[in-house]
Amino acid sequence: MWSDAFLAQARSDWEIFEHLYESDFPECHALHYLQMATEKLAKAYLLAGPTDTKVVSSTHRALTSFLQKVSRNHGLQQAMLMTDKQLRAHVKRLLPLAFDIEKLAPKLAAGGPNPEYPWEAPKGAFQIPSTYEFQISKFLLEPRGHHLIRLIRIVLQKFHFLHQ
Amino acid sequence: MSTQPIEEIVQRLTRWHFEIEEGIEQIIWFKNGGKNEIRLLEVNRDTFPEDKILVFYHRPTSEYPVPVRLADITPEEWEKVKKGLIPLPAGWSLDEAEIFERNKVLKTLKSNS
Repeated sequence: MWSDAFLAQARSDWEIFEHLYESDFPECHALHYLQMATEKLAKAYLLAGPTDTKVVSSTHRALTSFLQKVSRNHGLQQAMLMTDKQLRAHVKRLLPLAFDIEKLAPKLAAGGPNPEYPWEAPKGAFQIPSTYEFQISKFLLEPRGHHLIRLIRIVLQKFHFLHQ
Repeated sequence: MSTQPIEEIVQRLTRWHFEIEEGIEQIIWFKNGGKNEIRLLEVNRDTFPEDKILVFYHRPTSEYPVPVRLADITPEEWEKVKKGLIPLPAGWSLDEAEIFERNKVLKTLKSNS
């Protein structure tokens, strides 16, 4: 199934993200894997449902859509020992950060900060991902950042439990 | 390596977390991370229980120039940690820990402003 294939790649990308985030390599490389892992996890989840493969493969805006859907998942409510209302409120707080992760994809970065390609800002000043300090690292250090990381880890680990 | 005293960085970080997250009741600083790493456990009534402590590594930033290993648990899980029912991560010890209480930290902040 497409869903299983996307999940396997998401798990592998996530391992690389954690490995790189803890390394001395420039943070852009870890953030690139964070964006890719979360996008593939989101697509794996969407593909396990009725969403069409063509729709899923053509978008980078999968993470926020996935979180909105998963916030109503009964399996996840059980895994996190939360009520329907609690889980929805919990996930709602994470959406702005998820949107920031989505925007790391160069196509969504609108010529701004992204972990893959240099950009010009302001005019005449060229920014290089490998020397740039990304705001998202500070956001991840917030409690909501930690909650998003834990949520993603749980979904990666218990993915099939969510579809029972 | 940071030239800022680690105590100062920990104080700023814990204050910041208390201010932006209402559910955090206590933050435990495990000092056996030395001066090269900050180890924090946050007791947060708005987090979800897993009956284990899952730590995530955070890179140094210009504002917090020391690596941070952070975990959060519910108040019920914290009780289990104190009773030894939930193990601490390897190398973390309550013998060398300092506990920051929400009310005290925020009160100090108000009286200083």
